Amino acid sequence: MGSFDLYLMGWQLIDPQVFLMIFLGTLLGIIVGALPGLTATMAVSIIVPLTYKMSPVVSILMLLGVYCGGNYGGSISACLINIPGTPSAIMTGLDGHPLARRGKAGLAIGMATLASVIGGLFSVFILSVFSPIIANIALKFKSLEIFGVALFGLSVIAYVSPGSTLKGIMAGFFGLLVATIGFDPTIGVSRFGFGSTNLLGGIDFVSAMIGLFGMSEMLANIEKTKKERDFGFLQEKVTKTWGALKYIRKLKAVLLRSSIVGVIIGAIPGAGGTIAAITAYGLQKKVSKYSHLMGQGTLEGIAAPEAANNACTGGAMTPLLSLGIPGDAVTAVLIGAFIIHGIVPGPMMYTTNPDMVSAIFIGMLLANIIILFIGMPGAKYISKLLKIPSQILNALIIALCIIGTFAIKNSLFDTCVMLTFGGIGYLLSKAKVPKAPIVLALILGPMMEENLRRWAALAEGKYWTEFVNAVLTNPVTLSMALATLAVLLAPIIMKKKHFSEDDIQFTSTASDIDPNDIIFAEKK
Amino acid sequence: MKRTVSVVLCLVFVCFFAFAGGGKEGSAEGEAQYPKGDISVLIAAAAGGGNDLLVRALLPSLERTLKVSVVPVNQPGGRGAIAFNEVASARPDGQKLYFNSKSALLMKFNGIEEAKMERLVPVAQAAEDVSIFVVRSDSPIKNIKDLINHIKTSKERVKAGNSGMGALWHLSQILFCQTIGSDNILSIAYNGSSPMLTALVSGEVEFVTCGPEAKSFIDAGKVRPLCVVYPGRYPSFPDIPTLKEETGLDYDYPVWRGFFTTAGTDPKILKILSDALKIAVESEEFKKFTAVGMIASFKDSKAFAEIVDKEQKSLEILMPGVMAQIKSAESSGGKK
Amino acid sequence: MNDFVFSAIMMAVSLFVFIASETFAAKGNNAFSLAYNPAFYPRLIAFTLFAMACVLMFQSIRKGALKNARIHVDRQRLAKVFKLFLIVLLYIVGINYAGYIISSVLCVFLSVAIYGGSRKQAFVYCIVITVALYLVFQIGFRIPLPKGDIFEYWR
Repeated sequence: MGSFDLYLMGWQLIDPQVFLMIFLGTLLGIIVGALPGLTATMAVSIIVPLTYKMSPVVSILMLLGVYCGGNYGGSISACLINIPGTPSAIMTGLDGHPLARRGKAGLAIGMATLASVIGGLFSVFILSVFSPIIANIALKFKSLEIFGVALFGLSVIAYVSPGSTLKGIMAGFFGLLVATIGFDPTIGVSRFGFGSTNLLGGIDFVSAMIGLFGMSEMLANIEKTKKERDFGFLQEKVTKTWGALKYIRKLKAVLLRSSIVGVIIGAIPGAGGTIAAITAYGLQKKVSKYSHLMGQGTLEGIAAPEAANNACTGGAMTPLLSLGIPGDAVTAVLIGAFIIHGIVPGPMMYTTNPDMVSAIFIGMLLANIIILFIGMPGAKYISKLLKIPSQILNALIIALCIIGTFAIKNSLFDTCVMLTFGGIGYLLSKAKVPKAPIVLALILGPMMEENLRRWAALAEGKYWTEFVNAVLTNPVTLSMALATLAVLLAPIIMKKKHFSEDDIQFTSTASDIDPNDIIFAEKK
Repeated sequence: MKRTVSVVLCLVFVCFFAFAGGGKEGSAEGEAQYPKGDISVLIAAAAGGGNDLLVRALLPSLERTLKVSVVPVNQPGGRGAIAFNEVASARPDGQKLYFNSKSALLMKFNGIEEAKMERLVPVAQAAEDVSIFVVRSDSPIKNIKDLINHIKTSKERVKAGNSGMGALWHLSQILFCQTIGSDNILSIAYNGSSPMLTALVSGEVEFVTCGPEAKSFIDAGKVRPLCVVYPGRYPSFPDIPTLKEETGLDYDYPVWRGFFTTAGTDPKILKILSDALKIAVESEEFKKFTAVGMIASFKDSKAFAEIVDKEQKSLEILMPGVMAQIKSAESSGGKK
Repeated sequence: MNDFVFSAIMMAVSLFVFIASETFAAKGNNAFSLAYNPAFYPRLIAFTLFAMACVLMFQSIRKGALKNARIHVDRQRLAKVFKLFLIVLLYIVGINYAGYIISSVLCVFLSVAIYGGSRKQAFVYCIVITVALYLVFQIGFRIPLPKGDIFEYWR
């Protein structure tokens, strides 16, 4: 770990302007998170091209603010109108909404805010302590190990995608094929170019992402009737949010447990805030003494998922910074942001851009603190935004998708890619095929192919001996090989059902509880 | 029904514009005042890279001189082919500029056939670059002579890295092998200098050839520079010996970075641009930029055009042999 | 039924990859070389995809996809989706010719309308959004938005 330089260096980069942008980013993230239909991933995807002209520090930190804010913002609408603003807030509403209905909306939101902030801060701590260590190890990675990491990342997503695993893997493979369009990494021959210089450049994954997550949502939205799109507004008053503070001490075990879950799941490439929230809620339900009360308005039912989904942010940033691999969909988009600014995320960052790394730690710290100060007093204003008519909002998003994509490389071809993937995404959601594997394949695919073939070229035909050699002599290779093997064989061995968001049964949320009943924490 | 009508109306509207706007013919502009509105510079590299930062450092001065906005546009696609195409097929009014290094000449040989330099006309050169040979800091190879010996005597091919097959620095590496008389290397392509240098540090390859972008790695102590290939000591790296000094062997590998625009542009416009660039290259902002590795080196349109022409001719002779050598190395499946 | 269609499409994609990669496949010595045959890796992936598609197709047939071969097509809703797609497509195609401003105004107007907004709303917001984005991108970020070829033509 060495000196504290790594942690202090970043301060130089943070001037009032940067701070303002982090603030704006976090605010934007919270707002977007609070609006159902807009996900954090979408927000970050669309905002990446907007930050293009800013300096790297400003843009990355602003995006991190959006990221952290977005993961939190979903809880606001989940609690108030029982529609999660982002998928990661799915579990929050189970307890948040009943609590709000009982007149304690402020308490619910307050708890959600505090839990998010605590989870987030915990994960930044873990990120800053562990990622340099991981980075150091990562510097010893050669092509074979990097290939292994990419393969590992890809194999995990297949297991955590909603819906059928087979379809998830197929989507991933489709993404791998799309990723081969362009120049061959080893030889430089053009593949699937069909004579078009545009295709030679390959498919820009940021455009594909905006199309897949943004545009396709818009296309799907138009199918719903106007009534379905506009959200009802709970007329609950959101007051006394700080009241939740006094329950924190009693919930500290819950918070710690959920934060750890969030960090670990975040760090697994491919698993993100939603999975973290679900896992944490599920775990809490198993260990809680009051599990029968969960789903009816308990504070732990709010604290667990919210702490987890925000802890996911730091967790997902860890592999991003130390290995250059995204920990979840949003960090995958962040890779694009880094690259646009000429920074290649990965272990070398600790050598070539240590000030950037340090600024990231500090920025995330600030973002989480800002969430506290926006969320607590501001939640009631944000909830008013839920009233924007969807037709205007959707039109705005469409315009942003198009112009934003165009702005990345001044290329109308990219916008065509965006639209194409919008169509593909729409069709995929009809076929209930998960979309995230495609994007992850677009990012990890080239990495995987490049390194695999480079290793093959270096091995000069002696594949088996080289492989065995590496596994035996390099502890890193050995662990990578074992980990990947474990992931691939796990379902067969354990016969455990994989995570599936479809599988979550939504228990009825508005149970008729006697208003005189006190919620569990107050009982103590 | 009403909505369908509006949709159809709009369709018609747009189609009308589409047909009316067809055909971008335009002969060279006459004595009209130049520049007419914003100039865009298409940079064949991603934001933040060497080329990109260089152009951005020149912009403030250019804008001051030409009194219009000069907008940088990053178009790294297709190894610079997309940006190339866009400028080459634009109107020859000097409003679109193309910036790239000598890599622009190599595109044609790497399978991008429409990248014929005749479609562009050189405007001015802005900077110069140099090839550097580096090894890991804890490598047993201490200087370039050791490396040459190693290459000549090693039983297995010496593993080397390049930042792109058939690209700028790879070519330098091949010329190096021709100069020392041994091609006992296995050169592996990486996607740019950064991953290549990382691989060098991890020990995957034994040496690499790259440009001044290695500076940050050198300064961090992770790699050791063996030599530069330059007529004399390179100003940004005065401590690194030249190939000639160490071994008496040398080869000519000037790497320039400059501006181009569409062929057929009025020479008067070229002169205006060239003069503006001269001022820009000598400006304060640019001086600050060149402190980090590249050196400023201005050549006006005529001089630059001569250089480009000369290099093109020598590449025409050199490249077929080089590409054949690369292909034969591949088809032997990497085996000796 | 959806699964059936999806797997069929994936099979088609795999076959396409095999055929299209002929142009850059290495022959002879290197035909089976992972490192030196640019087509080896894509074909490997395509092959696996094809195999998985077969499995999926088999599964879907077992679940009775061919027996109840009804494809749920709600014409109304699909038409709306198609219209939106068309609007965006025309926008992208037209933006180079008509320039940013005209195209955006049109596109946003139509988008708001198609989502169910009133004429007045659509009119107001198409101007607002177009101007707002113009300010943000052209002025704020100095990213040149297409000016429209027809205007240059007239100059």
